[in-house]
Amino acid sequence: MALVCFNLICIGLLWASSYIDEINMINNGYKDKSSITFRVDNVTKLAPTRHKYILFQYDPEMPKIKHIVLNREIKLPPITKIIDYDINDLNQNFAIIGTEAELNDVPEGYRIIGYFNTPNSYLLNSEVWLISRNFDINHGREFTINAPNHDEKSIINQVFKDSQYNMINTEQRGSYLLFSNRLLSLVIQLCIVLTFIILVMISIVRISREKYMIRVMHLYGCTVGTIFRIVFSYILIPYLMLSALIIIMSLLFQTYIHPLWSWVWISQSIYIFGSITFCILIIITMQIVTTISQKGGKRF
Amino acid sequence: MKIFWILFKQNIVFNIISILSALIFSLLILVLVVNVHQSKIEIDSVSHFKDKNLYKISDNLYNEKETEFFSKSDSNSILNRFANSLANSSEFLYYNANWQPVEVSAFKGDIQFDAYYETGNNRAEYEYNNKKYRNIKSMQLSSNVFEMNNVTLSSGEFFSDNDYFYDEKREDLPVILGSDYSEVYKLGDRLDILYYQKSFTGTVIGFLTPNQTIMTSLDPQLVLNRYIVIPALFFDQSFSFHNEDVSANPIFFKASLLSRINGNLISELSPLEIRNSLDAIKRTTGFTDFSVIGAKGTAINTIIKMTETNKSILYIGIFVSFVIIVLVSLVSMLFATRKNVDTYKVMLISGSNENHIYKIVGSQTLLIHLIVTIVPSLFLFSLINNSFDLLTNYLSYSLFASLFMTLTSVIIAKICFMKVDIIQQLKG
Repeated sequence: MALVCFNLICIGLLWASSYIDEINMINNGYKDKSSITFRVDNVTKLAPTRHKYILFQYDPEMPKIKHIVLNREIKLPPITKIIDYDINDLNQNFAIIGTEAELNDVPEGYRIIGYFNTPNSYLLNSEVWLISRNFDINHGREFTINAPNHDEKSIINQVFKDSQYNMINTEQRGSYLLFSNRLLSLVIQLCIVLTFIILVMISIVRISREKYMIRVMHLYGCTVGTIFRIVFSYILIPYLMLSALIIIMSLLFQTYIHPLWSWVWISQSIYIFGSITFCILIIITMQIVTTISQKGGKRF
Repeated sequence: MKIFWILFKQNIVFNIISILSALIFSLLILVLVVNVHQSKIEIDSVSHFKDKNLYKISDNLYNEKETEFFSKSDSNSILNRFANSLANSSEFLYYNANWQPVEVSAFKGDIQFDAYYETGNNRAEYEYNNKKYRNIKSMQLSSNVFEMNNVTLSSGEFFSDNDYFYDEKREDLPVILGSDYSEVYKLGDRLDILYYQKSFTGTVIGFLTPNQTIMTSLDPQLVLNRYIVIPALFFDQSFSFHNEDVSANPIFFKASLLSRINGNLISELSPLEIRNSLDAIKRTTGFTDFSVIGAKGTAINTIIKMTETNKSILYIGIFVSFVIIVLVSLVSMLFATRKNVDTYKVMLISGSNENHIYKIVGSQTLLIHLIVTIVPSLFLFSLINNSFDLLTNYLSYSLFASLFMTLTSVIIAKICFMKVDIIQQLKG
């Protein structure tokens, strides 16, 4: 039970970390810390890919006007819609603008469907996002790509495979620049490490309680394999099942209740649960080996 | 001490994990203390701009007007009088944060320091006086820009008051470099700089801490990491603009004065009151070719709101983290005490009493927490400048946390012993 409680704390911390990242991303003009900015001078069309991404295309002289390419379903920043419109239906050109943006910056043929509801993002508040089906290099030669799975580099290689691109090392803005904000992420990471250590400690304590049982089984004549299988089945299987339940609940939470930009917090949780399972396996093995090799035991 | 060593040897792996968790606990307290301190600095920094109006002065000197104005023999003196009156006004704060690239010869940095790197319009290196120059990002700042934005240095020193004054035939220019320069130049290095086509020898006197930002009329959150910061030069009221230096470098003087008058006004005054106040300066100085425009007040207000929201998130985060840390530490302590119950039983057989064991448990916790506090303290002392206040804060919070953990460990030990039927166990 304690293991599951700390698993929940761990996944809660990972979610908090992703949530803060999303706030920072909105304050940074919806550019994640892993986003990549690059320049392409000659491209006629974007090659298709199965990866999810949002691509900003703009003229560096007028960075507030951005042409947006959305690949597959992408979560957009909070928007107050003025027209009920399906963003994924690209039969019409439409625009989303910031509350401080210039209306004159919206070209003819684009319908304003809503305003960014991002009161803390001075960048989004002054931007104009133009979303259309047609890609035209004349809209701007500078691009920024953002991918929820943080695989921006491989997406660029697929989408711009026939073009030469030059990376631009840009600086982050908004709350990313606040030292206190970065320290908070560090606090959360340290808490995750601490929780991981406690999970290992709980596992050691929990498994060490089984040493008498292991000795009895050994004295009874069970082979190491059988002992391992028995201990594994009543310690690890419940843990694995409850962890799987937590992951399923997280997936439902992410899909239906509060979707975040990135799914990385779930993949990191799976990674941590996997590492704990691996640690438990090692601890069980060590416990069995040390218990059966202790003097005084006699195998019949 | 011997008893601690015996207890430690009972379960080395488990005790090492306990020490590790105490170390992380202590690091977390450090980060929390630093974070609260930092958040106060950030809020303090934006609070200078809170509820203030920001105006920008823009000269109307272009085309014929410019030619006509500068055809007067005392044009530079008029501009200088106007600039100095603005700077000396008590009704508003005159704030100069001027974006103007400088040319640097034999520049050691890479392409990202170039003035137009981000817009893809980098200008090629060019030759002037047998030297090759590159256009590098630079900001010219008045002293109040550093104060208003709480700009901090990682090493070196700020400009002195004299550094802002231009003397006749001045050739040296102190420079403060952004944090990205820390691997490129070092304190005391000299840079050959062309500033408005006048040659200066720049001396590196300081480096900014990473991610220092300032509010400017062009960009409400200008990041200084890649910038060469030089003082916004001004000329004393008695400075004569009829000398050899001025005739040899007319562009430098004209551009310096124009950039000086195109600054920002920060005030609580309304646009009408500002206009009245500037009318008085117009009359006394004789300079009238300018207009006042409202600068990006909304963007600045958004940044203030963002910083305040960040503080709220931070405090919630700190509170939740602290609860988790205490919870986790209590669990780890509970396990450690339970693990040592067998040893405590042996101690009871050997003539010890329960109170003595509680004292050992408490002292052990206190000792571990005090020892692990040394590591973050050293870290704090060596890495953060002017950290004496912060260190005192950290040590007092750590002491409080250590005492709390000590008390809790004794209570946990008592609960553990209550659950164990000691007499029965001692009987065997």
